[in-house]
Amino acid sequence: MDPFEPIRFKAAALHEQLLSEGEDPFEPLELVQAAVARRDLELVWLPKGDPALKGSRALYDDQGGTICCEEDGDPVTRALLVAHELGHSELHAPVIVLAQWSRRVEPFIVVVCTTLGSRIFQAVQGRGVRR
Amino acid sequence: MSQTPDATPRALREAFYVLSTAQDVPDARLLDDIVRRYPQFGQELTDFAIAVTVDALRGDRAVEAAEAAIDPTVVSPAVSRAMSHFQNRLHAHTTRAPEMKSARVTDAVNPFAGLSRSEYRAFAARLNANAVFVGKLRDRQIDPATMTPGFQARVAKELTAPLDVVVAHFSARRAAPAGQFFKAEGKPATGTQQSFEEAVRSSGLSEVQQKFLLEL
Repeated sequence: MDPFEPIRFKAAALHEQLLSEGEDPFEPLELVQAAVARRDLELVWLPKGDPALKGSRALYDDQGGTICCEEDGDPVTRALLVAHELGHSELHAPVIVLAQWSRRVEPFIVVVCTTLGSRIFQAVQGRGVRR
Repeated sequence: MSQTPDATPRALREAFYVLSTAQDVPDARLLDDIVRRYPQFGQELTDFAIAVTVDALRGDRAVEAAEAAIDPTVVSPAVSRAMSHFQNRLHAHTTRAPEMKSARVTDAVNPFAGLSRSEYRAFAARLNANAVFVGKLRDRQIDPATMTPGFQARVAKELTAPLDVVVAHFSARRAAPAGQFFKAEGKPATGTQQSFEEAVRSSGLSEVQQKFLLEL
């Protein structure tokens, strides 16, 4: 088993859990919004370039339990941005630890994002995105 | 034979742990003792003691406690410097210093730093704002010159922090964000400051929340 396997499993489990609760896999934005709520996080859409984004397109703030994401862009892109930040919230523990390990954790986050994201893309390719 | 001080992060965490658990509110005597045991972390321990003390006492009791405990007859130069720094910083935080309102201080205590997630969100709710707006306050992304005195007083009240500490925080130099994770092409940036009104308008607040904050 490669070291990323538990992470893929975790992301897949989250995906399956959301579907079992009635979420539509063909609505990527609603899917990630449900995941945000499931983790007791807050999601706030901000204008592109807002200072709260710190020069990024999306951001996870561990202290406030908040995901900020720029409001521009198509639903799939925004869903993937939010999914990436969900990966941070899923994998990061206390802030003090994270400051030391964030670079090593980042590859795992990419896997979480990719797993959730690939499901989204499969859905998009198969059915198209309803807006 | 001399001993090489252990300057690893683990040793620093141990020093912080000892300082924070020895008594409810650290005083100069305790700081003296711990700096003797961990002389390689004199500056870090001093800063940590200040943060804990200000957070715990939120006012004049900090100065009284520190002055009552100090014994100036038996200190090494390194400990003396740490204690002097401790006293000076405490004094700056716990006495009124009107000149700080216009000064750009570089190392003010961040009164938001010690809040847990639940405390952070509860503060946002009491302020009738949200976590994004509070993040802008925490990260000094709002020009303090554009904040109303009523708003600053409300923040101090809801944080149960001295007004001077809050004002000094808003005026301090912005630091690289901690505990935040990004999806970006380049390095994160602290960006330019917004005016108070811009921050209220652009943080995802409801119309009612915006009206409330702008009228403080």
